[in-house]
Amino acid sequence: MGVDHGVLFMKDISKTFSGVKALTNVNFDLRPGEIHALVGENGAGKSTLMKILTGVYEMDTGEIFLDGRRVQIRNVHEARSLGISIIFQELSQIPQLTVAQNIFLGKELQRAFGIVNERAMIRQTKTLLDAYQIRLNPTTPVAQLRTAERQLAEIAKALSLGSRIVIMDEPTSSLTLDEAENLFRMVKALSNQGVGIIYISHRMDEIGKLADRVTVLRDGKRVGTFEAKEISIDEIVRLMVGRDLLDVDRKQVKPQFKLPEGQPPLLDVRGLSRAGVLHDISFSLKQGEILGLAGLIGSGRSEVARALIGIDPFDTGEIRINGQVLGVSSPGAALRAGMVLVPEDRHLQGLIMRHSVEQNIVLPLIRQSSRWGIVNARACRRIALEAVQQLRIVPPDVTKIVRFLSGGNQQKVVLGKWLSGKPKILILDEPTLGVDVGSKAEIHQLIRNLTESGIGILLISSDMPEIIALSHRMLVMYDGRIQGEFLQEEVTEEKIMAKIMEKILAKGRKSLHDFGTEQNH
Amino acid sequence: MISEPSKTTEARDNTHISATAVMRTRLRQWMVYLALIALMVAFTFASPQFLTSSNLLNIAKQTAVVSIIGLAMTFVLTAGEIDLSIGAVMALSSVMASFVLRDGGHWLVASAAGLLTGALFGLFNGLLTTRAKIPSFLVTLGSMGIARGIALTITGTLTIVFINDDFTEIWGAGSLGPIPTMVIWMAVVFVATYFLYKHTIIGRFVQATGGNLMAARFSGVNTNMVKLFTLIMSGLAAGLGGLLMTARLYAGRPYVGEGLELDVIAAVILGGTSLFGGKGTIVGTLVGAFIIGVLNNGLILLGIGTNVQLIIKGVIIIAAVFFAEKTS
Repeated sequence: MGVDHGVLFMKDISKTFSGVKALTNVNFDLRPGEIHALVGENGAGKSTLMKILTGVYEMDTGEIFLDGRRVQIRNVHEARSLGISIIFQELSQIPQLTVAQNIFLGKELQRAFGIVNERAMIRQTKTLLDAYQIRLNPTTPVAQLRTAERQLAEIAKALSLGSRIVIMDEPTSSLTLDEAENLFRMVKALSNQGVGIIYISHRMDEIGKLADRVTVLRDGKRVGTFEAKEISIDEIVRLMVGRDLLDVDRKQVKPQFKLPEGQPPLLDVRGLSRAGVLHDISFSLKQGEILGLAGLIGSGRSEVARALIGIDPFDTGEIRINGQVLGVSSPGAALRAGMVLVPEDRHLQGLIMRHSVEQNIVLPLIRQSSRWGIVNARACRRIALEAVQQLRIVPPDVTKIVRFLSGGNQQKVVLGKWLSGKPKILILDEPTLGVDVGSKAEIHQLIRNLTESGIGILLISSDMPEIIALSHRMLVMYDGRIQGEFLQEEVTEEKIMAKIMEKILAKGRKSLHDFGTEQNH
Repeated sequence: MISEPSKTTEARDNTHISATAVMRTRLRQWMVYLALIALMVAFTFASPQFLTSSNLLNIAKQTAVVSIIGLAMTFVLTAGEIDLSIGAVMALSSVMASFVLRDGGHWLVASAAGLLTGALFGLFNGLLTTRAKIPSFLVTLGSMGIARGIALTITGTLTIVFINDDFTEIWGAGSLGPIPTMVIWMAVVFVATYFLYKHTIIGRFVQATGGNLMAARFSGVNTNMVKLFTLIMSGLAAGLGGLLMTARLYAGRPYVGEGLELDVIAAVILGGTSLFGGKGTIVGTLVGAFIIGVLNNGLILLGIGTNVQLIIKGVIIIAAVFFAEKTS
């Protein structure tokens, strides 16, 4: 049966999970050498569709055609042998093994008697990497690679399998801007070689830069497929969420909050240093102010937060809250002084996954809600219920084990946990990382509302438009130092990047990690 | 604010999973009770002596030491640590108390010596675990050898005998009406630990520490203090166990409590406390201790020796962990 729909055509795909329609008659096609962006809110059905394509799920109804031929994909192995590979968000490599060993994992080249032919594997890996201009050493253990390099190794593995279709799920979520640029170059190079790429991302700017076509999913249905040149990002977002929520977010891009005059700083940090990590960090934060902390990953932003909150020690320096020196440096002391940190990794640092919503929310407040060391169960329940209502945590059940909530609701529990204590100073580390556009706008609104009650917020974010839209002032960090300060009126993304680039150049490190320039040699 | 009712398929799917998971956990909690009842019914049929009031009291007495230390161990495991030294520490505590009694010391001084020995070993374990960052598994494996070695050395491997009616009456040999004092001590420790675990800050902190160390630290929990606390607690419980054993045997024996860690950890895990921290149950531990107690007692009545008992208990531990981790 000949159907002319490029290299891949998924026709009328439907899938139901325990009575709930996850996908309804979705069509999706991919041309050879095309970069096709697949977008939609969390739960729109992107992952389900891709899991059907890679054989993880079985579809209820529908057909899949490869090169016009109908195929059955029952498991991941069949998908691979048909030339379909997926690059996972969490990379599936073994860190102790080298690049070559990972690429040949499970299909090692062998000499007689099952002895692994290490040399042939290295040679073939080198040929492969050279062919795609991936600058990696086949004998480097994956553990020594940076995230971006690991991703390249993962892509190389997909290519080694002879993949003609590569699915990339949020590939840039943990990359710096530079690294992301390199990845884009790589993706473009792949598409030039005829590999079709399905690209899933929450970052709209990437889609504008990369994609040839865009398919929008909403509530398990295909809203439409568009030539990327013919549709604006605003339109895509509107189609994704089905409402004009970003208008609300945009109307307040310039914060309207007026800073109170002549007040002492809420938080005053002087000369905070830690050998090899932080150097002479000084700044202050006023009531009702949002102070942005911009910079690349690894520039020391999270380390500032960790030192302030007392998770990490510091060598010299002083932290004052409302003029009072913060004596002991521990999370408990910071908490009592009204300063809390919403950490960046909700699984690792924010939540106890096997505890209930209530247990998680009340944990930092347990001292206030007890007497003589005995916990007041009723007070705890009240605090938890309030947080669940205010943040609209779904389902509104405080006894629910957090592990069983969706990602967005888990993030709300993290926020609830820290906001319930009515802090004076709130440090937010990547508050919208991996959050879909709908919840993101909601969290932005929440952050703005908080400042109206006089809370001072230190906002760490790698999302430049976000930090620019929310912050009254911005500090730019590089290499553990504050390198510049911008006011909200004057700042642009270009200015911040220019500041960072200036410092990188000054350190003469540009060529060291810059894959792009080396590639052209 | 923009409302975003989360009716995504993932969320729904999760709700579905959680319902079955909750059912499974419930089922598991009931399984412990059912196992205890089934075991008792089986032994009743197998041996006429089993279901007699004197034998049941005997079981309660035999269970006292395992359950008291198990209740403390519930805190240790919940905090994500383990204490393998309890049996050896119990022996050393017993020997220390016996020395005081043999030399004519007051029963209070002897009791203090026993409890202090336990607490100091707990402190030692705790400091090495939290300050030197040696895993508690290894620290307590080492201190198990140290405590047992000291007990054997200072006694010359001999039993220390004494006569002190006050001591034996209060701790292990006496009774209050029909109820043996050992059972009363078990009840006291049960009530205290139940309250501590469920209704106090320290109980919550123990659960948070084992549930997610990083998240607990970010939440202002001094996780090192919490771990230190739980290890001192298990040391103290081992000390108390030592006093009870000493009183029951009217002597201090350096070999006492060998293999006790197997019984105690089996009881706690059987009860439903996670070996990986964060979740535990005090009531479950008591039931688990009784399962071990009934098993020990019943097997003896059936003429099955302690050697075979060891095999059976080993199998039970592995099976309990296997099922617990499958269901959670």
